[in-house]
Amino acid sequence: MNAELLATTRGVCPVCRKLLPASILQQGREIRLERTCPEHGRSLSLLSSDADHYLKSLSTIKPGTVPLEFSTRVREGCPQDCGLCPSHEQHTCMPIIEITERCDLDCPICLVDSGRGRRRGGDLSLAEVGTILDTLVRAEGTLELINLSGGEPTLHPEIRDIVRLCGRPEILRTSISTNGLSLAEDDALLGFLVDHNVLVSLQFDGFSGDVYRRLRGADILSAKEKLLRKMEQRKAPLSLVVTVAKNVNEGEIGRILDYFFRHDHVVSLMFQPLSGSGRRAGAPFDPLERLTIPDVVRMIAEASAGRLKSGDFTPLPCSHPACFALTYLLRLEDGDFIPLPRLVSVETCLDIIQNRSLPGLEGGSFAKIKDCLYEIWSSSGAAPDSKKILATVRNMMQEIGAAGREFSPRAALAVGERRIKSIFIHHFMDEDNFDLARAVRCCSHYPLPDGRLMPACTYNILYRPRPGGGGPSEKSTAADKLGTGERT
Amino acid sequence: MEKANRDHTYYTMTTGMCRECRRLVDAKIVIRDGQVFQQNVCPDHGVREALIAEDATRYLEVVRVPGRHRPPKVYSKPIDYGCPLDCGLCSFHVQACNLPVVSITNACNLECPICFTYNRKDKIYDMSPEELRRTVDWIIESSGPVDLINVTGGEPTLHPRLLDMLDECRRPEIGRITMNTNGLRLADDGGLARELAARGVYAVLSFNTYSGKTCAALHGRDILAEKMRALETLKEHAVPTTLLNVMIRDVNDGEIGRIIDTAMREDFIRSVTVQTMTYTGFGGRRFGPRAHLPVDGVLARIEEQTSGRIRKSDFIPLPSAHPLCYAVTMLITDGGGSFVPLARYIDIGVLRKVLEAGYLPHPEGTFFEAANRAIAEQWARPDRSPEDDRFLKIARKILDETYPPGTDLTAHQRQVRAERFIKTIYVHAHMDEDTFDIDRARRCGDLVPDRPGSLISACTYNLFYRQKDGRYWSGDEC
Repeated sequence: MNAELLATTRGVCPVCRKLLPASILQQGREIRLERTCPEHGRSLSLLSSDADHYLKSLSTIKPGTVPLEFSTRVREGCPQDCGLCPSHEQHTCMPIIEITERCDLDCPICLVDSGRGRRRGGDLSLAEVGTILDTLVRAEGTLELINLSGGEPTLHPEIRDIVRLCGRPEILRTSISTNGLSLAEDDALLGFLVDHNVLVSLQFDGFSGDVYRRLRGADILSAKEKLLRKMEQRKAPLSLVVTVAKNVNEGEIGRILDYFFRHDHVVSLMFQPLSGSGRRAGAPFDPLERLTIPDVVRMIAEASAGRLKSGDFTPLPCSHPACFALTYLLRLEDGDFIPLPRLVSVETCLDIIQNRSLPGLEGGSFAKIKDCLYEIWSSSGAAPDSKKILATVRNMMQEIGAAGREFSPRAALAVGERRIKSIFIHHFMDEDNFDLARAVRCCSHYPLPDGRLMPACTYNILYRPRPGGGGPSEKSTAADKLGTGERT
Repeated sequence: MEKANRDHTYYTMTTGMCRECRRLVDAKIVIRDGQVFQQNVCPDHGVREALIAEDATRYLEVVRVPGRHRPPKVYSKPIDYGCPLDCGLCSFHVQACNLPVVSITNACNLECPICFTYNRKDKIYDMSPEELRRTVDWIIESSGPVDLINVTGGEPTLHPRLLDMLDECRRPEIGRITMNTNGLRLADDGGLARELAARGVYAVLSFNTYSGKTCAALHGRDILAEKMRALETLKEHAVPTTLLNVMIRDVNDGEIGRIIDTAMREDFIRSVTVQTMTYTGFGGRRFGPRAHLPVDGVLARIEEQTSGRIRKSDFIPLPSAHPLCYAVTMLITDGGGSFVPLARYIDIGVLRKVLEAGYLPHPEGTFFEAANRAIAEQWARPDRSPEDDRFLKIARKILDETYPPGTDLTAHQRQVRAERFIKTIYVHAHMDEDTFDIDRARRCGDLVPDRPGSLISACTYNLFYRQKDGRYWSGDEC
C-alpha cells in the first residue's frame, strides 16, 4: 500500500538536525514522518504504529493556558525564538530543573548526555536556582509541581538548600528524579527529602540485572531494590519511571505493574518509550522499529493481569495528544483499583486533567473533581462493584470537604494521592520523530538560568549544548528569493 | 493571579505567508467557537487571522483522512529553498497535474473588481500555437494522460487564433478541453459556439448572479443580459457547459440555490463550480471587506438554499486535493430538474475511488458493483421514500445506458454516457496571502505551465510567480 499524505509539518534531519519541511504519512496501519535533507537525503521514521489511535488522539484537544509572562519575543519564528515566546500554545505544567550535570552512571541511552565525565562541572548555583524559581513564579503564579533533575540531582553538593528554596509557598510540590544509587545508601538525605515532602521519582526499568546492564551500562538492580525497600518502610510517596526499550524490557512491565498495584505508597507510574535523542551510543536504533504510545498501551493492558484495558488510557489534552497517554485509578476501600475512565465520561476526565499533570490542585478544578465524584455516584449503580465504589466516593468527599474547611490545594493533593494512582506514558521526541507542530504545545519545559523556558524536546534536539554546537539552524527559506513580490 | 486559558484550541502548525511583507511565516491552525482559523504569525507584522472552515467538526473529520495522490512522473526542479520557492515541480509536490490551467492570452474585455489574476492592457501577450504545443507535450510527459485541460486567460475568446489553439489541445492523451469565458463574445457569436461544439470543447461560463446591480459590482458593469444570451447560445448549440460561480460572503451568497436549480433543469449544463472569493490579483487584492468564505461555508449555503435536497453531507473532499481546497458532490438525474445525491446511496469509500483519478468521475468496476448493490437494496425495501424510488429509476437507466446489453463500451465512452446522468457540483477555495498553506499548495493538481518544462500550482503561481512570468509581467511594480 502506498504512503498517503496526512499533513505537512517541520522535522529535522537525523544527521545534521537542520530544520526541514516534513510529511506525516499514513502507510497501512502506521503513521510515519518523512523529510528530505539536501545534504543527507531522505529519512523515514515511525510516529505511531496505530493509525487509528493517532488520528483519534488528534481531535482530543483542549485550549491551552497562557502563562502570566513570556521570556522571549517573536523575532524569527518557531523554534528559533524559543522559549517561551508568546506564540507557544501551552504554559509550563511540568518544569524540569537540571540542577547538575554530574552523574554516577553513563547510561548508553541517556537523553541528556550527562555522565561521569562531567562529575566536576555543571552545578547550578543556589542563586541560579533562585533565579529559575523566580522566573517560574512570574510565569505561572502558582506551580503544582516542579521537578529536580540532572544529571543525578542527589549529587548536587547543595541539594538540601535547593530543596529548601523550592519550599516557597507558590510551589505545591517538588519531585526529584533519581537513579537511586546514592540515595539507596544515604539515609540522611532520603530522610531529608521525605521530611520535606519531596516526591522521589525513581528511574526503574525492571527487576532484571541484565536490563540495567543494557540500558544503564551496569547491573544496578540491587541498589534499586534497596531503595524500594527503604521507601516501603517509610511509606513515602514514590513515583516509578520506566524507559521501555524494544526487545529489552517489555517483559518487565507485568512485574512493575504488579509492584505498583500492591504498594499504596507508589503513587504514579511513568512509562517512557525509548527516545534516541542525546547520546544514541550503543545499539543501533531503527527509526521505523521503535515503540510508540499505542504499543506501550497494548503491552500494559496485556501485562496487567486483566486490571487494565487499552481503552482505559486517554491522551493528555494539556500537551500534544501524541506526547502523552494516561489513566487514573481510583483505589477502592478493599484495595482494588478501578480506572477512572470506566466511571466517568472521557470529557469529564479531560476537564479535570486539563492543562495540568496532576489533578485537583486549584479551586476550579476542585469543583470539577466534586462534579466528577457526583457523576461516579450517579452512574455507579450500573458498574460492577457499585457498593465499593460508592463507599469510596463517600469517604473521599468527606475527606476533601471535611467540616466546611476552605479549599486547600495541598490538602486536596494529599487526598488525591491517597486515593488516586496514575499511569502515564510520555513519548519524548528525538531527531527521528521531531514534529515542530507538536512542540508548539509542549508543557514539559526546562527552565534555564538565563530566564528562558525551553520545551523539553525542542531543547534536547535543537538547543542542548553538545560537541559541535547547538541551536536551530537558519531557516532554509531565503526571503530574497521572493524577489519582486506583489505588495498590497 | 490566575492564569487564563487561550480563547482558542491549537490544532497544528504549518507554513503560511505574511500579507504585509510576503515572507513565509509560521501558520497556526486553531479552533474557536466551532470555527477554524489560520493564524499567520509574522515577527514584524503580528498575528493575522483568516477563517478557513466554518464547521470545526467537519474540518477535524476531513483533515484526518489522508489524500489519494498520484505523484508526478518528472520533477523538474531540485529542492533548494523549500516550498513554495522551488516551484515547480520539485519532489515535495505530491500530486501530478490533474488540471493544467493554460492562460493563452492576458487580453480581457472586462476589468472585474473581483478578478484574482492580472491582465495588462499595456502588455498584451498571446501565446502562439507552437508554444502551446510544447506546453501540452510537457504536461503529457510530466504527468501522463490527463482528463482535462483548461484554456483560460485573460479572456481566451479574444485570442486571434483561438480555434488553432483549441486544436493544439486535441490530443489522444487529453480527455477533454474546457475553456473559460465571460460570455461576452458568445452572447452574439453562434458561430463560435458551433465551433466549440464541433471540437467537443466544454464551456466554463462565469456566472455569478441574476441581479444586474450585483453583476455591475462584480464585473465593473452590468453584463447580465450578455450572460443570459451566452447561455442561450450555448444551449442552442448544445455546448456542454459548466457554470462557474464566484461566491462572495454577503454579496451573492444567496443565489447559489437558483443557479443549481438552473443547472439541474438544463441538459447542456453538466456541472456547477463554486469558487470562493479570493483576495488576490488585479481586483481581488483591493476588494473589500475581506470576508473569507471557506468551502464548508458554501456547502452550508447550498444545503440551505436547496432546502436540503443537497446536504453538506452529500459532499466529499476531492481525494486528490487538500480538503480545504475542494469538495464535490455527484448528483444523478434524468433531466427535468429532478436529481438524487449519490452519497445517500453509495458508500463514501466507493465515491472517493470514483473521484480519486482527478476531477471527473470515473465510474468503473467498483462503482457499478456498488450501484448494483444499492439498487438491489432499495428494490428489496418495503418502505421506500419517493427519493428512493427516484434513485431506483435513475440508477437503472444509467446502468442500461452505460452497460448496454450486448455492447462493449470503452471506459471513455462509458464515462461520456454516464456523464449525461451524473451532474457534479465542485466547491473550490483558492488561497490568498491570508490562507496560503504549503500543505495545500503541495497537493495541488491545478497546475499552471508557466513555460514548457515547468508546472506551478495555481495559487502558488498567483501569489509568488505571476510577477516573475516574463510573458505576462515585465517585472516592474504594478
